[in-house]
Amino acid sequence: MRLPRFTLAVMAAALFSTPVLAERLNTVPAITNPVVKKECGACHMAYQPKFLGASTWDKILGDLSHHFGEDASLPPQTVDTIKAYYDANAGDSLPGLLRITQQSWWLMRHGGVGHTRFAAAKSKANCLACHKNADKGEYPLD
Amino acid sequence: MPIRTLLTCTLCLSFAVVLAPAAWADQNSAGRAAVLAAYAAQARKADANFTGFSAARGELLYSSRHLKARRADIQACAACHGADPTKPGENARTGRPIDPVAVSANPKRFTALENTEKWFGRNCKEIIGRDCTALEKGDYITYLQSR
Ligand code: HEC
Ligand code: HEC
Ligand code: HEC
Repeated sequence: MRLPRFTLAVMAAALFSTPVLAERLNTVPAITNPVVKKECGACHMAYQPKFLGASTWDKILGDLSHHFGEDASLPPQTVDTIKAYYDANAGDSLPGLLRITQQSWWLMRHGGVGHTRFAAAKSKANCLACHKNADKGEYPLD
Repeated sequence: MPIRTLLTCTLCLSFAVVLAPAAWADQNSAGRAAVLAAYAAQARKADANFTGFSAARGELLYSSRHLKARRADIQACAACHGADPTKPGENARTGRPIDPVAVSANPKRFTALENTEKWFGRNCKEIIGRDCTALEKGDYITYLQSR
């Protein structure tokens, strides 16, 4: 049974490499760039760069007119400013999954959060509904 | 500090406190007037018979359900901006609170053309299924200015 063991090893690596990162996620640097705060914080809280890798941010910022089913397009110069900020302050994430709420560390940390709390928050991506200082980069355990 | 300097300072300060909000208010109305003037010029260009914007038409645009909306669960401007525009709204998709859009409750509304264009661009396509005309934009602002 060589293949399953190999697959397991890969899965374990993927699992353990991201929680290492998540250890340090109860506080992440707050966003200081006013353009990012304004433009990326209008429809939802502006998500801190540390939660995703630079290549994932680049994918998100490369297609703002099809942004999770919404048109979030901006003038090219504004996108450049935002991209530079996210790239310079990015964290790590495996390529492929665009959402923070799809990352394995996020799913693990939120596995115990009940449906009613998520329903009240309207969306998993509404971090502020449960983490009242999320916009300051604070996600303490309760 | 000599008493006279103190007095002048106090006088200056109280003037600043009294006059500054008035100056801001002026800036807001001037900004909004410029935005409306820009839409009026476009509306006149599109239709020589254009006579002015209408708050009643704007209210209809704001409150109606638009059947061409991209999402079946979010079909009106009021879905995010609230049935009562003088109260805070809430983004129907993300749950994020939105400051009131009625000018009486939020005097900074519709004071910069760049900002109104960005949001009319996004939200009209999303809800009405096409770009809003200059007439519709002016009506919308005129309605919320009356609230
Ligand atoms: C016009 C509204 C709008 C703007 C502006 C906007 N977004 Fe979004 N964004 C959304 C919506 C809607 C979702 C999906 C939310 C949901 O599923 O609850 C979303 C989701 C996201 C997600 C995934 C959240 C998750 O589930 O993990 C990221 C990351 C994101 N946006 C980044 C950005 C960035 C960066 C900017 C600034 C360039 C931005 N957004 C600007 C509307 C917007
Ligand atoms: C419905 C409520 C809810 C929403 C929405 C939510 N969280 Fe959480 N989150 C929690 C709870 C509860 C915990 C603590 C879990 C525990 O105690 O193990 C948590 C834990 C975390 C942690 C781990 C903290 C640590 O010190 O280990 C991070 C980081 C985090 N959330 C980030 C986010 C981000 C980013 C978002 C938005 C994209 C978000 N959360 C949305 C409820 C929520
Ligand atoms: C999915 C939620 C949503 C819907 C539906 C929606 N909007 Fe908005 N709108 C927003 C958000 C978010 C903002 C930016 C945040 C803010 O200005 O407080 C905004 C801002 C605006 C602005 C800019 C206001 C200013 O002060 O310059 C205009 C104009 C606007 N919307 C028009 C409309 C119109 C017209 C409709 C209906 C055709 C509509 N919106 C429907 C979410 C929505």
